[in-house]
Amino acid sequence: MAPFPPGSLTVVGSGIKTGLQTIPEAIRCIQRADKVLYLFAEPVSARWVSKLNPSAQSLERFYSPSKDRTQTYQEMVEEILSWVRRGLDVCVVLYGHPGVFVAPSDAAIQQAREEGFRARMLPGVSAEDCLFADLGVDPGARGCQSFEATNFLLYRRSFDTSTPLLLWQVAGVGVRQGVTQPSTAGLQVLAEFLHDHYGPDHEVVLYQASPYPVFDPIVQTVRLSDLPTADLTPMCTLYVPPKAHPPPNPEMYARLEVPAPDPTPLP
Amino acid sequence: MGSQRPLTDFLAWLIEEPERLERYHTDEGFQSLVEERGLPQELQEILRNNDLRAAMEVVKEETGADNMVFYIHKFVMD
Repeated sequence: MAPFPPGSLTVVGSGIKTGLQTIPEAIRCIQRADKVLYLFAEPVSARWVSKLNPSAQSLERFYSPSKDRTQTYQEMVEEILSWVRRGLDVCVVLYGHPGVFVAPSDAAIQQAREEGFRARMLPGVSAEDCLFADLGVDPGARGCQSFEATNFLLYRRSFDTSTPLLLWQVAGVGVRQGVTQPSTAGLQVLAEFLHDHYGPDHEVVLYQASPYPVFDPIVQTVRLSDLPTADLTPMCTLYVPPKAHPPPNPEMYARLEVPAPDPTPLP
Repeated sequence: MGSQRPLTDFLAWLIEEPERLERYHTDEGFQSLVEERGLPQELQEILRNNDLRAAMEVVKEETGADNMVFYIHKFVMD
């Protein structure tokens, strides 16, 4: 086996609450790296990472409101690889979990491996992890469906109104460029689509995990009919609770010899 | 001279030492921390009221991030 060339890439997550939700292994990688690059959802975290490793440099400059996001991600990947190619051990720090809703991380790791470098990813606490904790949604209880909101609308798919539904990036539905404000036009389309499946009175939750150590999350319950005019935060997620129990499958109950369930209503 | 971005710096400063976060969650500790950092009264109120939405707005203003592109990292239309 050919030896690895000098230079490596480790992509780590900072968690949503930077520092407090960062796993120890990620912190060690940040401290030991020759070069740290980072991207956070808010400005407070930059100081934290710069204190851990003074080489830390933001990738934020590649974003621009007028630029297609695909181009932004390509430029980020090229920037990351340019440091690896210099023979440095590079650590890229991304907020949340670096493999969840983060296009440049996977692309950078793939590119690094294709060029023969060692590359890996370490997990972080994701927004979904925070949502499960803050809203008390247990995916083991009723299952869980999770989609990026634009993707959810663009493709015809079967989804189940008796299973919890998570829709991510609802403040940017249909937006191709970088955005500085939530998109209400896209939200209107999403609300109409959900209205057809759940009805106007179904209550949904707009949720944003707190990125700061001392604040609680934003949890805003609204009826679907009021969703288009809701006060969105840029990073919010929509949680759509199930509207009914799924119908039992008597044949499977019989085959698995499981006692038939009581017809209990939803709590 | 006070910080030009007092809330941003205060939150970053809190993260640096776990002991500060422990102090923050007691009445006495909270008061001593905000006084130690000279945090203006209106920002203390945002913290007391646990108002995340207001805090995010203040941080945006303090850091000149009013027009910051917010980070949607995954592009999944194609």
